[in-house]
Amino acid sequence: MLKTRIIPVLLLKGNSIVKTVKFKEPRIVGDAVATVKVFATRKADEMIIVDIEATKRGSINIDLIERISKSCNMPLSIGGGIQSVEDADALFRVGADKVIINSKFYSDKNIIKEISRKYGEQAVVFSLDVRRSEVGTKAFSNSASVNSDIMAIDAAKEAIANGAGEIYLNSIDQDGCMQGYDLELIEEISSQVTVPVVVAGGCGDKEHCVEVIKAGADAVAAASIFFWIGESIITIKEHLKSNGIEVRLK
Amino acid sequence: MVKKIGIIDYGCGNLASLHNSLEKINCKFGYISSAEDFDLFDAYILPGVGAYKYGMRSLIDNEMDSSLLEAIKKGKELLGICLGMQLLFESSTEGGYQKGLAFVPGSVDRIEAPQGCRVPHMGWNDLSVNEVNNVQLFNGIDKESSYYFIHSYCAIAEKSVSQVTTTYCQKKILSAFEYENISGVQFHPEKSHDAGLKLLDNYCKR
Repeated sequence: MLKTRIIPVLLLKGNSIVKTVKFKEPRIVGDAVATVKVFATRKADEMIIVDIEATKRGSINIDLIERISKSCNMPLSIGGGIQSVEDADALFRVGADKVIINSKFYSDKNIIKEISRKYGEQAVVFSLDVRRSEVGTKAFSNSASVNSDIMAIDAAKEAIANGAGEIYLNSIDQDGCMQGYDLELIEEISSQVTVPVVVAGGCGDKEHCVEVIKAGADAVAAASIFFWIGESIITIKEHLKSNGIEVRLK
Repeated sequence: MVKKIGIIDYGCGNLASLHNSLEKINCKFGYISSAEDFDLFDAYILPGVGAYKYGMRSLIDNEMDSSLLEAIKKGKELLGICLGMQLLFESSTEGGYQKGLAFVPGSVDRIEAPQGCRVPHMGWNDLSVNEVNNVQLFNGIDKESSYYFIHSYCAIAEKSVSQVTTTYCQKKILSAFEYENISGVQFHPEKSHDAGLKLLDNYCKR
């Protein structure tokens, strides 16, 4: 039976891993390669690695991604600054299993279609950063700084229609707050799509992980709980298991 | 004799991860980037992250399909991984009908998902414990080990092929097979921690 995935989210800033609050105030939590090595030995099922400065900088640090990939034989989703199929080529070549597309999608829908045609839909993740307001749940780009004015669910459906094989859903307002996931949002999105939904934003307690799976998420993504609370992937998995959720413990 | 493994580089694949894994198990290996290189190796790995049509075209454009067939006929061993495994079958419907290498009887089609079931099949899954012994690649590996799957299409092999399946969406999905001197795995051993390394070790050193 398929196991529920626990996925640490590692944000790159230079050679460091940082953690944000509401996509702002990045605080350094460790060296990139060293941090990845630690998670790899502690039963992380995958890792999401996003360079939060790549779009602004206009380049991807392939050398660092290669060093990260060499330090662990585990599945990696890599994002940040991907503008073209050639960018994706370079990432797959150094060890990415999936590439994560966000900002570029809003100016060029073909980016997903083209990568998917070459690498298959399973290799393309659409990163959906959303914020709720009185006018509905909207999708944001460029590290939550630009409101696309597109409804979140419409953005998700359009990305899937173009060939995205997974949605990485992040609640901007819950990010780094450790107050629990936005369950209503997760139900809304996950019930309307047919691809796996990985959810981030708000995890601060083992029980939050149970809640998010029951709300319809296929995988749990988290960061603060590991860096600030000191919870481990294994204790989270044991908690999920005791709640009847299948996880990988060996 | 220590076997020398040739990794077929046809522009479709996560070569870095496979490279790292083979280094870890002290396997002797190199890369095949043109049709002439096949004679330099004792056995092969056909890796693959990619769409079927693109992968098959790359093999044909590089004239690797015929060289690989010749090598197989000589009795050399071949292991296909993920897309590399699917390409060994007769055809796929991914992106429209496409003929495959046709080394193994069977074909590839989209995972049939009942309502409420997600495609791609993505993540760690275990194998049918009763079937693991059907494929020698799993010798000495804990039968309850999980492996990393990431695919939307799956192969359906004919009965003459020794198979191991996994269950997803209440359906059995081909996960590994052996057929004469050819074997294949749908999951990524190079991403599947210790069990995956052991499987690669079994292939490289048998």
